[in-house]
Amino acid sequence: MTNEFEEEENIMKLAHLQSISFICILAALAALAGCAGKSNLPVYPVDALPAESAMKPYKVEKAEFSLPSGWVFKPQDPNKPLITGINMSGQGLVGVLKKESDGGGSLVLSCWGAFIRVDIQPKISREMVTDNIPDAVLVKSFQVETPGSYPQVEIYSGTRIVEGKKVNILGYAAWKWTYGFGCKYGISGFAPPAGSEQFEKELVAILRSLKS
Amino acid sequence: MKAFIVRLTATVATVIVTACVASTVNLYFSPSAEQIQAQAKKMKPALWKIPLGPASVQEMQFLSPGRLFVGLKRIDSTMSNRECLLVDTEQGTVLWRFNREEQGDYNTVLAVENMILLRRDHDSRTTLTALDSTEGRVLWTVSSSSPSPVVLSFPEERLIVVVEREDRLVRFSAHDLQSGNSLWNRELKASMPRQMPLPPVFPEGFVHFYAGTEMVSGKTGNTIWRNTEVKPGPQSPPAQLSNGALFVIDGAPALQVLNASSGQKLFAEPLEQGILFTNISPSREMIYLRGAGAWREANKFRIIALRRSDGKPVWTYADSEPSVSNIVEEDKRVYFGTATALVGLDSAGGKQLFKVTASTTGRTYPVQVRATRDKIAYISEVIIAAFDPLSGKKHYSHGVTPVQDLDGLDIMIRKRQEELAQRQGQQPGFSWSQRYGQEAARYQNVASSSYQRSSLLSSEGKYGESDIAYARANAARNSSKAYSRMAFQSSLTELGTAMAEGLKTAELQGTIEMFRFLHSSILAAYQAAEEGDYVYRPNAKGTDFTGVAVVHMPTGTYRHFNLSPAYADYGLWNLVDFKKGVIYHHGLGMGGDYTFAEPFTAYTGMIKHRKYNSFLIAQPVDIPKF
Repeated sequence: MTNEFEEEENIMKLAHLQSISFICILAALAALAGCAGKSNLPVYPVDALPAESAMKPYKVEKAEFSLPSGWVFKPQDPNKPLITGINMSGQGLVGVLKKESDGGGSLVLSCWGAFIRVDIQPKISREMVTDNIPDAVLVKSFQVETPGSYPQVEIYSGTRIVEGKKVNILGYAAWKWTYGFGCKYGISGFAPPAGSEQFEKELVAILRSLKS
Repeated sequence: MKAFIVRLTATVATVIVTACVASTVNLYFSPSAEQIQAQAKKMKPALWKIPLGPASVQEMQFLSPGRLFVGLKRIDSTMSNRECLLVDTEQGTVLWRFNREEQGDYNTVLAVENMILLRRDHDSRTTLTALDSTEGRVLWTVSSSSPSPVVLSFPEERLIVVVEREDRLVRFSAHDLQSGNSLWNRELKASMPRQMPLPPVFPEGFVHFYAGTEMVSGKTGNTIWRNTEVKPGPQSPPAQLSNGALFVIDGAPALQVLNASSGQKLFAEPLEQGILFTNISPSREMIYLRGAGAWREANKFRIIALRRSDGKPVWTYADSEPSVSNIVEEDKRVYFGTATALVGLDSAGGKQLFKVTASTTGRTYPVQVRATRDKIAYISEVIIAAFDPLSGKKHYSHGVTPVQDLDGLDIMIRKRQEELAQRQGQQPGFSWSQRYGQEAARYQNVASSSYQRSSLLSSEGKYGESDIAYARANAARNSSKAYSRMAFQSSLTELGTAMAEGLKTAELQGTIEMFRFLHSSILAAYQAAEEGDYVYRPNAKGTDFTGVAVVHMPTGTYRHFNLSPAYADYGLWNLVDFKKGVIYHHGLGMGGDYTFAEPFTAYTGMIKHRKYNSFLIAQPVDIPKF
């Protein structure tokens, strides 16, 4: 049993602890933001990528990016269905980036708020891929050096059953932390193995073009 | 000041949390609005459409002509229960809804024209609730404090028997189906009762193996016969009843065949040591035993044929992959399916006549093998094919794109469990090869029981002339469903205590629960998707739309019907009324009036999902008639 005075004191202690916790959370977030992205992964060579000047720029609310030729952007509208080719989920979905040439492929672009957790950002992108390809195996991962951020890409290989046959499919998960209150980007998508080298280059070019 | 600090801290914390979860995750379906409109124009208008909200279907079955019983699950991180309802399919109206909001795992034990018996398992406690199926009114409720009791139904005698298995004790209690009143009780001492084969049910009673082998009258609880010499072991496969004989493999191991009416031993045959027997399939001329040898053996999966008349071994067939189907004996040949092939053997000598590739996916599923006029049909999760019974030459093969595929779910469950084990610094506790063999064993029994159910349905009609006749057919179906449920339950159990503890990790619990639900739902939905010469599957053809693929097995005629835009797991459940040419389908439909349901927090604890509302739709279709 506690009396009224003790109870008030407890509330004060709790308030004190809460404010300390809050400061700690802010400090942790700041620390995480500062070290986000940098890793020991190989760095993707950017020399052979499509030039950003030759790509078509888009600005959709906070999200800013460019697409190489052969790609179309399908904006997200919650009241209209979208062509994704596969069930996907995405927090803060901006829309679908669809490659219409060389075997095709689709990527979902997401823009998350300032407080998305650093560890959750890759998790969402990654799980969109692995949840849709049950037997997905990570075949390649790398980072892309861009000023101020270190976007990362993971490429998965797996199969889907289409009309009773096993069909190979590649899954792409990428994310890019940017400073400030702009977008923290996530990309997830799928493409057939044919033309995967070019698809990979174009994904990296899109990733580099994402701006905060 | 202190109040201000408290409020400020709370407000800021709320802002942070809200900022993290405010955005919602939408699961989008594929086709554009224009594509949906174009598809809708090609279709006949739906007869009716009942909104169900954002729900997955747990079960769907006809209680009688024109009365469709549907059980729902809420789509959220807990996959909690929603109501079950009875639909008048002539009018397209809901006759009643029964609230199943309580926590736990609901299953339908018995569903007949005038009664539905629901079972709810939660926290080692099981509750049976009987509903009057005309009004959805609760007739009675009975609870059991013992975990996972077995419920045996005797609809002809208007009673059920509940079997509660403690460590060293088994309790039987019979209840009147109309009133729930206790009819009789019995207790007996037993060793490891949970590991014994489940009691097979006869019209007059049941046989248990808890202290020797005993047949008990369902009506009185009295012993009809007892045979203390026959003692199945903890690894014995399910006992089988066939043409008045009871087939049991005991702990020795030896095959024991008893007269089912008197319990008198007809014959016994010692079996090879070192083989784990998984299934007994008696036929007209032979008794086929399936099992697996030592794990290092190349051809470890065996089929041993014994003479039906005296149990003497005739031949043994060994293969590198296990059979996962029922066994069909036709014109002195025996057929079965593996995950990849249809195999034909000479039933007299066991010589392999052919082994032909039926599926290249290699995905395990309880394959159904059917003799259909001049063909042998191979029905798997994603392939429906037919072969010549003599040469094995392929007549046709139709593949479907699954809405959710069973093997994919198996892989996902394993992945999540491995992830958990790694986090906790443990080994996963199972090997892939062991799991493959164990799954195969369970699927043999699922397929066999489903084959029995199919034979029963075709001999008695889809709906019985009376509720009792229908109950007989349904009892077989429920036994089959029980096997599929047991199969899944054991697949979880075998992952070990560490895994079970791991499942309590909130982050993964929702995901695993969802996979678990979909896994059992697929088994149940696909087992219901067979009637007479037809078999059907949900089919997300072309990924834009989900629908139903119907195959007429004797001719191989294939028709696909688009029913809804492809979206999440919607579209898994369909029932086809072949006489009326109507598909009862769970999905979005082609109406275009899709609305999002309220968001909810998903398994990551950070993200919110929104789902579209779903409908139960009666869609008229032109099914070719033969």
